[in-house]
Amino acid sequence: MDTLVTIVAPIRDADIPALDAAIDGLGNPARPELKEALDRLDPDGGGTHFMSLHAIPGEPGGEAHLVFELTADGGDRRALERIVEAIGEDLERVFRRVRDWDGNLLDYLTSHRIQVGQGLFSDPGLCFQGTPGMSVGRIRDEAGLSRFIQARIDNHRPGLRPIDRLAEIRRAVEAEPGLGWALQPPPPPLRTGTNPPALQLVIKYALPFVPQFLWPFGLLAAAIAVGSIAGLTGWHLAAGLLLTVVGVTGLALATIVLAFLALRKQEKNDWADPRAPDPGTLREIGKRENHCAQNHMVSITRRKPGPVRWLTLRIAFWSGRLNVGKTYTPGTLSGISTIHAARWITIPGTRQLAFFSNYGGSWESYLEDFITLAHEGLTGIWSNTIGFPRSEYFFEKGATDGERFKRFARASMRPTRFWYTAYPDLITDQIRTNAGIRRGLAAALSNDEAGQWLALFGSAPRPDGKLETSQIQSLVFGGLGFMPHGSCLLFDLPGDEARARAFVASLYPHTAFGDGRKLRRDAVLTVALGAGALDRLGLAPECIAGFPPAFLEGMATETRARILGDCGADAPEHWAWGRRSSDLAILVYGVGQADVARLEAEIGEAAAANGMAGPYRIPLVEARKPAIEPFQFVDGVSQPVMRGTDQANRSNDPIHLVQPGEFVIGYPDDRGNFPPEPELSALADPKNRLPVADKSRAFGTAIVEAPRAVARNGTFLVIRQLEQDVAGFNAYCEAEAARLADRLPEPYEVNADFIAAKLIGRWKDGSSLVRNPYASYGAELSRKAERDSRRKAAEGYPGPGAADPAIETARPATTPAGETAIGAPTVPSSDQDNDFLYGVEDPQALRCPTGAHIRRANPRDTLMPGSLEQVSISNRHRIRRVGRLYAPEPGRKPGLLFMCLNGDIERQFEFVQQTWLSNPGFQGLSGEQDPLINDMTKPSLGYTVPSHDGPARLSPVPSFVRTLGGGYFFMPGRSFLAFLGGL
Amino acid sequence: MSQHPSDAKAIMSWGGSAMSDGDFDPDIVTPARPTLIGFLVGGRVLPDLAARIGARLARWYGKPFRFLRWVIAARHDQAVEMLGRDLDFGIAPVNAVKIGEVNGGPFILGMDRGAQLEVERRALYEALAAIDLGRLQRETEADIESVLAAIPAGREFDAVGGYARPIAARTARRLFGLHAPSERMLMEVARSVFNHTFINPLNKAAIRERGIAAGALMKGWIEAEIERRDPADPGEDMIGRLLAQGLLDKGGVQRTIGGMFVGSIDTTATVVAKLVKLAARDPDLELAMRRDLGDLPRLYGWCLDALRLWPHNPAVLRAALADGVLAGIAIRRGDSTIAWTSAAMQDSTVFSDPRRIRPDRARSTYLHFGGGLHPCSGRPVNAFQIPLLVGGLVRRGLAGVGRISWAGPFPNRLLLSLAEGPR
Repeated sequence: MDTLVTIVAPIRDADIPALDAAIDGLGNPARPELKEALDRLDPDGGGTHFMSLHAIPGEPGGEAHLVFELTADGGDRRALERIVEAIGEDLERVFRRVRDWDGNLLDYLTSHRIQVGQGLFSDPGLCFQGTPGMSVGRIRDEAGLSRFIQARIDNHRPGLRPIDRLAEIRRAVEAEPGLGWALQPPPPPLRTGTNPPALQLVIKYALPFVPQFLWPFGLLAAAIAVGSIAGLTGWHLAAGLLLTVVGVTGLALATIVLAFLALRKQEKNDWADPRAPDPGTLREIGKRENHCAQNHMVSITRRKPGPVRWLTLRIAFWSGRLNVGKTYTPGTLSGISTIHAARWITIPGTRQLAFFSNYGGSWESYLEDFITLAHEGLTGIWSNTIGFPRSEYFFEKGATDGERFKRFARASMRPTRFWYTAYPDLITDQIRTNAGIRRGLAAALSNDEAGQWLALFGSAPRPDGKLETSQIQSLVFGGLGFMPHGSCLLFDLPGDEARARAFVASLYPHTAFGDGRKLRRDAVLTVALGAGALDRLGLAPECIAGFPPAFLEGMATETRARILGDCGADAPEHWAWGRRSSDLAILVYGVGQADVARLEAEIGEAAAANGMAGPYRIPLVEARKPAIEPFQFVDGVSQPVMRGTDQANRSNDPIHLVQPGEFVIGYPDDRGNFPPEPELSALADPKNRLPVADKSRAFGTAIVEAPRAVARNGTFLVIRQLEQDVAGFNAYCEAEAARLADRLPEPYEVNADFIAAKLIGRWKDGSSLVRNPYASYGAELSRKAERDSRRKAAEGYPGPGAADPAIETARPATTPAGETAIGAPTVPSSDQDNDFLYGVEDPQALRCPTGAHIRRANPRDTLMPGSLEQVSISNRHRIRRVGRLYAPEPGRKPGLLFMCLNGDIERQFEFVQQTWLSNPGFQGLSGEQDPLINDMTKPSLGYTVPSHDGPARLSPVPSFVRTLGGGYFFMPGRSFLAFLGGL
Repeated sequence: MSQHPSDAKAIMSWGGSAMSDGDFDPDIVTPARPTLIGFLVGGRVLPDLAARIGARLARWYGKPFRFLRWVIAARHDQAVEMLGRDLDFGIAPVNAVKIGEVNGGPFILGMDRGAQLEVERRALYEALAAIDLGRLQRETEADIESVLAAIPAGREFDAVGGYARPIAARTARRLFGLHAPSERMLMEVARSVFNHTFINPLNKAAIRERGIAAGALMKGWIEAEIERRDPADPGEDMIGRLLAQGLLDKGGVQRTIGGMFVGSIDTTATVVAKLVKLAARDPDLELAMRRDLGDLPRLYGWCLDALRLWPHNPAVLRAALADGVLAGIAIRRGDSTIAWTSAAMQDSTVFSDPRRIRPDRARSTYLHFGGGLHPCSGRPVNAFQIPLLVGGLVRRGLAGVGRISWAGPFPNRLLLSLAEGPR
């Protein structure tokens, strides 16, 4: 679409009825034989996109005109030749009635073309193309190609990678006669526009304004200079020039100000046409609308009289041209993308402003687009015409008065008696999508691009922050509690790369991806790689070097041990496993124990087949809800919630919501950054199946040579086997309770549970100390029930077993009109409350001690009470816990197979462990450590329990938890796991 | 990579081919006289000065430069954008005809995106990924050791014709599985084809005719080699891998091997000659290279960064396929667009302190081997071959390094002596 040609020919008013009849004979839609002739294309695909013909009455006392507008490929001359060849005879019958007919249609049309412009001496107007550069042939061909592919896009083969699905389509296209062109290099895409910053916009508009509209002042300045200061020399000349420039600039500014004031005065007095459109005209218009996916409209209005509107109309068109050309995405008009071709013209020698538009969809939706998206531009132009709804400051109000604007537009319209469209069933969005389908078919080279290409079929490109759920292992979305049985297998891979890959390949089909609750299997795997596995699986050293140092070093090094407090009895040399990092940690989850055993056996066979030794196996205890850890506390109450997951859609508590990048690699973190990722050279991925680090998507930029983001959709898994001394813990709590029984006055009730709660920060039922400082929620509830029961009994109420139904139903289901709402319950609605803030509710730590385990592990707003920013800072260190209890070997103590997910091990797990849990000086404490994660090699001064009656001091807390083993692992995304398996 | 049974003898003797070399005389140096292009590509001082000025001007101007129908992107981001937007700035108008002339058909370096490029590119990279590059590296090391073992301390020898070119040629033969009547013939054919294909913008008849004659010879060698292969066990070099994978027919294999082979020898020799000259001029650089002899990736880092100051490939050409915009300037269809890589690699916003040579800059920022959709496919070989060749000389100490004598754009001879004798 290169050419918008408009021909204006003079006619007599008296001839209009006859001309209307003749034009009607051509048809809207165009008569079949005319359409067939016009549908014929040039060898290069050039043709006529749209065409319409109108007899327009003149202004009062003025001349009427025949206006012929067409949109076509090629230059003006070729566009007209094509028309004359196709329907010359029919057109000539109409054009013979013009006043200055010269007998040759082509010459006549050529000589009566008008050009619109935005300068002071142009006929003001503006042309717009919605699909620039696209010929009729291309649009039709691409539509045909799109239909061909649409019919084959679903080959009923599940599980194909996007790039393989695309390859299948390519083969189908290649085999189809006449579609070979579709596999050739496609035309370049339209460039996308960007909205420049405000300052650039000012420069962009202000600078061109001077030569466009203020050049007469330049001439004036030149004339003054020549006439007045000629002959002056030296300082006199300089002063003369300066005075001239200053004077003329002042004159120009004064003119602008005066013009603006005059405009404002006119705007206040403008007449908005209150009349409804003529019903007869509306009927005629209605007869010709909605015959296909597109419509045509023609509107004839009159510019308001006077020089101000003469100028402002030109400025409005000039501004529109700048917007269309420089500010908005090519092919869109202020965000409206449904217009195929439109033009505003001023009929020469008149004040008549004609608007022609070929648009997709209904007139109603088209006008709504203008009202909501482009009202400024439309107001700027149409407010210069008589009857338009009143505007303010040139661009304001006007078209925003939607109903009046629609009335005005309808009243200004004339029936389109002849209209041709080359592709009546296509709207611009379809044309652009078809172009994208063609471009991707030929140009997509990577799996990412192929995925984007598939999104063109009824979907949409994935935004950067949107999780690729199907690529992420299920453990990320929850602890797979619906598969209560399980085990953890730790393997070392064989030295032979091929065998190592073969073993990984055998794991792939069993690995759970996506939201695990939707899995329909009895047993699944979570697969996590140790740093050594990457080398054994043949990953390039420079890529491995891109993984975080903590992961590469492993948990058992001296450096990490100091960070984690693994000293003394907890030192790695005493561990049962993990002294040397394992290559693979495989978590087997099953609905039943037999399911786990079956899958374990299958893995064992694959391992044996690849020459591997049997795994170190940690059996897991059947998971229950709620999860109770060995000290008998409900576990897993407080978890960060990852945006984009189903869980986040259900929970809106902002203090626990975090961005996916906090846990999953390749997504924005809470600070909006995409953390760096290890990259693999494109050469190592010749099948182009790994995600590309470059996030470009438009098929216009080659990304296939960009490095691969191997860690995309992966996460780091920390595993620690923690043995818990339950008897020791209970004995300590009981001893301290006895020691402090008289230390704290009422309402404190010091017993072993109280001491345990003060150490942990929650009661055993999961309720928080912050909200339940003196007894657990469950205990408080029981006491309240007992008190109520006693009170009711004393007042003669029937007992709980004989509740009066009348009393129950008296509580209204909704708030009655005019009455206040029923208040919230006075006690927390849950026994596992988690929406509290320490800083706001317990700033002195009188309820939950500063050193309590859960306060150390997530201090929330403690440092800046009530500050969401502080909560956000704390959230940068959150971990997602997915651990389970392990089944102890005979004679050993029970414990937890602690597992947590991190986007960054150092910033999350290690930070929490070192800076919060193990820090003796944590938030003003001195000589204390976390009561569970404590390093016995460091001296302890005890444990402080603040109270209204001053601090109570517990004896130094012995070590109740011992580390038996651990490791850092990486849980790869689906693509990377398949890649490592050579799949 | 287990050598194909028929290869062993051929590598030892450079014999075994009964092909006629026709009218192609390998003793004629290509081209016979220095050319302007040769000067621009090969010279050091003026091109470097121009690149520095160009980089500063480009940063100040902010847009690509336009001279008539030529558009030059000298800023790094703009050069990268130009190379990356391959649907706007095509390579086919630049290379397709000449590659077709010398190669008997297209090669991916002359194709814009489309189904053929997709298949042929995939075939090439999958075959390359299957090559045992570790073994190729060890063999190259052995070649270098054997050549240098014969050169005593202080004796002058030709680091191009007697060292870098023949060793690169042997590596190429092993990589591709290509046989030629002689090493000299192989090298000269590669040079003649390369010269016409990539550095004959004026299409000079003499260069063109020699390139086409050389191309015909090369095509014959590859076709004969393909025919010689056992379909059941076609070998583990590139020809064998391409035949075994079955993505391309025999013609496609021939075109792919031809296209890759052409750039494999003289590019390496040019890089080595320039780096040796740079190291000889800058004792600190030589010392740093010597210090990192045991760390090949880091040594390669020194090579890549030093090469910025005297790149073997100072500009990359494309042609505008449609009207559009590049970094704020209007592009017209048919404009010749140039990514001025030598200036872009002086861009201080990407290469901080650009005159300083350092080995730890991000590899992805270098434009020595092109960019976008069409980077040099031999870069995994470059990554070991270039530092090995340079390191082999630096290890012995550069005692007397003479001037490079040029054969057009190619270094033809670089006489030097080594400070230390063989170990």
